[in-house]
Amino acid sequence: MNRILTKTLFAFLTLTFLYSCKDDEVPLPDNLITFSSNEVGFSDSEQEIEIPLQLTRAVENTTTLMIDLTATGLTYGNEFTTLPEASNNSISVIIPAGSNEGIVKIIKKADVFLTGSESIQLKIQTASNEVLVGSTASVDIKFASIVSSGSTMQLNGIIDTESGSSAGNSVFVDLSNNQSSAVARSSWDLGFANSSDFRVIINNTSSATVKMVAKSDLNTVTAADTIPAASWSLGYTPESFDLIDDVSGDLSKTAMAAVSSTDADNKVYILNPGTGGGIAPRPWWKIRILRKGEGYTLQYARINATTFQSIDIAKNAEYHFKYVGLTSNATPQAALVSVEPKKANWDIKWSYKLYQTAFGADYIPYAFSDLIVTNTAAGVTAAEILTSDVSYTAFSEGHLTSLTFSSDPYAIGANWRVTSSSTESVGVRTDRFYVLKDSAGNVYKIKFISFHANDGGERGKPKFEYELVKKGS
Amino acid sequence: MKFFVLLFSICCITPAYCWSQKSQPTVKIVGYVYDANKKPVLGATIILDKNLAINHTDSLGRFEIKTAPGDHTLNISHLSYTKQHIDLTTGSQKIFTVADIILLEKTDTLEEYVVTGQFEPMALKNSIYQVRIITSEQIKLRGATTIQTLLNTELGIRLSNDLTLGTTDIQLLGMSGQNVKILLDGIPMTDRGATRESLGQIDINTIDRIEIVEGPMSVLYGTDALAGVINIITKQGKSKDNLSVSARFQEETAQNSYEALSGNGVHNQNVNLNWNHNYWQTEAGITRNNFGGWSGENTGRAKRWMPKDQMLYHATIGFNNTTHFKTWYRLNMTDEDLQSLGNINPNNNKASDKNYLTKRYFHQIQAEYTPSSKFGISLVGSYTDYSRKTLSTNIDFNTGKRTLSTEAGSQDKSTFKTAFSRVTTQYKANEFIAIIAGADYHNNSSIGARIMVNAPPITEYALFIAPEFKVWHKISLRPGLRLPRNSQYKAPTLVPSLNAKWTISESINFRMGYARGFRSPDLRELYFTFFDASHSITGNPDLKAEFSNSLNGSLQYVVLNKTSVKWTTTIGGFYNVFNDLITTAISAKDPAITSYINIEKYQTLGGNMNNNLQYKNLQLTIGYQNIGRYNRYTTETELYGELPTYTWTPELNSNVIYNFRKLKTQVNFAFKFSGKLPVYEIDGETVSLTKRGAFSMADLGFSKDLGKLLRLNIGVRNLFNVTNLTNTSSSTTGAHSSGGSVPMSYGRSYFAGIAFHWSKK
Repeated sequence: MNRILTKTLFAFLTLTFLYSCKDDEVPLPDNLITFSSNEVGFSDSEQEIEIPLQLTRAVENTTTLMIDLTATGLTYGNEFTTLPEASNNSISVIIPAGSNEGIVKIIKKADVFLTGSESIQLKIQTASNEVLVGSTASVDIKFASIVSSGSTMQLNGIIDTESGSSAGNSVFVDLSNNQSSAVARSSWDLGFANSSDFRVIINNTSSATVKMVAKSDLNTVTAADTIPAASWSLGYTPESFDLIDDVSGDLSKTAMAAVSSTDADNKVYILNPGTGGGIAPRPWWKIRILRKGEGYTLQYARINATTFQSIDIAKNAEYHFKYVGLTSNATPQAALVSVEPKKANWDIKWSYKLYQTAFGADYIPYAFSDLIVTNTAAGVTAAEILTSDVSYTAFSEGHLTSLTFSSDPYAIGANWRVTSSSTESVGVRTDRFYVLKDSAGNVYKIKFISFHANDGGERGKPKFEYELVKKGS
Repeated sequence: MKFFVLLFSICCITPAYCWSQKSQPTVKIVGYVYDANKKPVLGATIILDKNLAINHTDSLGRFEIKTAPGDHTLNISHLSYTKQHIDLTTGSQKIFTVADIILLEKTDTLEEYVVTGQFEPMALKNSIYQVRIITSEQIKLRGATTIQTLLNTELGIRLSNDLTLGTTDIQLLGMSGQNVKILLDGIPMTDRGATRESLGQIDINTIDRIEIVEGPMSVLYGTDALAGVINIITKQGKSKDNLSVSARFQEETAQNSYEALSGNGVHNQNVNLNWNHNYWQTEAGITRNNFGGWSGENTGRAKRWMPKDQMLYHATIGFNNTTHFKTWYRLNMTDEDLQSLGNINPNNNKASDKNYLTKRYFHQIQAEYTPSSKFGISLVGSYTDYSRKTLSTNIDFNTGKRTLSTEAGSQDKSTFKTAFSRVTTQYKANEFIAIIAGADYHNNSSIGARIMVNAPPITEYALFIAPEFKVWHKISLRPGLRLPRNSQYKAPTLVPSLNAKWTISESINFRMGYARGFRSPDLRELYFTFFDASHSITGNPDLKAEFSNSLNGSLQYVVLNKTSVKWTTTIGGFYNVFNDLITTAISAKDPAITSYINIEKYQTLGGNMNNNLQYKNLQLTIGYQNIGRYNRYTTETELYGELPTYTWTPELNSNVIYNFRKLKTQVNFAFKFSGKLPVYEIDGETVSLTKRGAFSMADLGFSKDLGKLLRLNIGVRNLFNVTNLTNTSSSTTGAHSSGGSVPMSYGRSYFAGIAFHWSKK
């Protein structure tokens, strides 16, 4: 009897042991492919447009999408082409393994006259492997600037497998055209002002720092001028502000002095391209910037070089800045890079970016993830509305009369989300939404849906919806 | 190399010496030892003459000793009984049978025995260390389901709860968890970081008692034993040839919320099985601890106290020939699931949950060999495999579907592996000199997202020796020395200690101790790496060990010692200076990076008084302690002006047990008052004094025997309904604010449980 009892109990114990070793399996979410919105404006000032296709997550195997093309009022090959090319009104997009997006590029032919009523429709027909077609399966591309009545948008801040809080991309958003364009934060190093000022900014999305050397000949600057290297590190001190441009974008307070018309006054600067937000360390540069007529000349070299190279930069008033990226693969090379859309073609920029935070009685430079900057230099303004005053759904044109728009570039800033708190849930703040007036006077209300693993979203891929409240005149 | 030669000599030569004794037995002395009720006494020690031979009684109370014929004396001792002394003269017969020996139970039940810092169990009053005990009776009466509940009312101990991570840490004498050594049967428990989570991962149903030693015991126990040692002693199967089954079922509310069996409240179930046959002992048990979480002011899915589901398993197999040799293997397993539920995001009707899944496999093997009363050797080995995994999932309430979170780093898993072994020998040269010496080995390795890839394991090995001298029959001295070596950093070369006990009179004892304590930098401090958007933290492989100098003394006075009333009072004091404490600071090499450096100094100073009273059916303890914590801004008078060196916190505790013998009911009242905890904080350029509120914790429990097999436990925990402590700290905003109210408990709760015990014998 006892033996039976003992055996039974031991068997029971063993079974429980074994059972405890098994973990509950939870499936991965469906991998859906969608367009980011179902209508996009292709304004007459643009020559080509990229239509992104977004996946829920990176594919494990190379995936092929079949997309139907329907053109209204124009003919493939005559007025436009696509990349990848279409055949029989069908485009095959290949998404390589490990990638989380695909792109269809639409290119206008040169010297084509369009009335503005033409359009193209892209529709995802099939996707290979385990990818499923999501809800926004088609997009209409209007051959004119449109004023979107609203949409839902998910920005793609992730380049590879980096963590979402240090997403590799900055994303520019044009609400009225339902467009977003992502650019790698590490793709540029200097931004040359196109305004009447002769000012040059450094990259505040990579935490680059710059310090002047009291020399005006690049060739005489050596590694000895970079000692101690810690002087180029952004510490948690108010003094660190001297190494970076004004965090609110005031061009009269850049870290580098205004470029003088007297060449001898333009000193050499040592540029640390920055490692902010998970950017791999890159070599430092010595640079010197001169005026060249109404433009600039950039002299640049690696720290130990005894010769330097130059590149000329002409201003283009359609953009806020002209951007230059410095690369040092085989030979050091500076090249113009395309970063920011035309200044009238973006409303907000979402990015990891340097800003500031309170530290005791002072402020110190502090990098924020998911920081949203409004394009105040182009006249875009924004306001924050608490749902306790009026709900997102109820907000209408009538509410605008009593609304004051702020021209603070951080009117949205980081207020829309909580990343760590002892009192609030981490995630988008659901007690507020935003109203934005673009440079054409269109007013949109914007509600953030998710941005973090804690609110059902994904860090680095913020999701929001917006709706036209009032069309600009 | 020298090291191992020395180790070898200690471990091998000494026993060899002892074994080379001449033997010429011709008579076998046989006898039986009984208690007053004529029941056999197991494990009584029989010593022939002056340590000539030794034997222990078996479960029948029988012993036998071989010796040469002639005049002999037998000394019979047992921890629970008074000593006996028998003179005898054997003739020429082969077997000499001694008349039955009756041992009288010690009436002095205050007499407790301790093992911490000893080679073998020793009466508390004889221990050279000042040791506090939470007895098995207290554990039984408290109806506790966690060890923290028991420690909550101890002087000098504070618990702090991290509701975000669901962990509880301990503070002893003003020092945080990483300076407190947690031992399970003398073997250190592995923790993944600075927090002593392991305290919550031990099955309380397997615990016999808890010994707390304040002050460093680094000579014997190595790193981390700066503030003190908490040694958790498990129950050991005693009798031979027996089968016993015990079970426990307990339900508890979480303040006023309760659901039966699962959900709100605490649900505890346990089954234990013990089977001993011949020399073999086996034991196995399962415990489920389930906590449904507590919402508090929260209205959504997210709970203020996280729900927890914990399964604890243990199994033991042992061999014990009851005389000289005993060995056992034990496996303790923890399987824990802490659930952090997210609120529903109204914008997408989704919620994100995190499960922190902990698995701990703690293997231990112990062996003791005591060939004579002069010599003993014990071997201990353990291996811990600990992992904590974060499972992040999203649940979509539109579809009811739960999916894995695909975010980078959201499915993190960290593993920690620790191998430990220790050999301890004891050699009693004569009644004046006894030497404890040994060596230990420790190997820690870790893999995880925030540990540097290819971080080397940390290996620490050490030799220790602690001889105890009786300078005079009233004064004992125990100097100690540890020689540690570490594979990754420069360990302190010598760790000394000196303990003394002066028996001034039969009723007055004086103890004094000096000790050097140390704490090796842990894996995280050496090899941490965490870079994200707003953090750049690296470990520092150049760290030194933290060390402390500690002084303590106590005077124990037995005021009354009569059969009806016993009263002992102890007055003590301590002073600890901690140096090279590791803290995070901005790196001097690169101000953008935060790293660990040896910079902080800290001191604690304090005094205490404890009273222990026993009167008929009443047991009462009352203690008072005042701890002074060092104010780190006191030296910077130029910056902050004159500030006091210490901030003081008084504590008062009491434990009352009353036994209604006729009703077979016991009442237990445990109480502790913790005074205000003042802390100087820096706020910008000024220093301000903030205070954490005072609070009183009290538990009241009743225990009644229902027949022979069942016992009923009911009671109230946290009588004064303490939830959050006020905190006057002003820095409540910002990402890393420590201000705001401090969570202590989820409030007054009620428990009821039933315990079953059946034994074949």
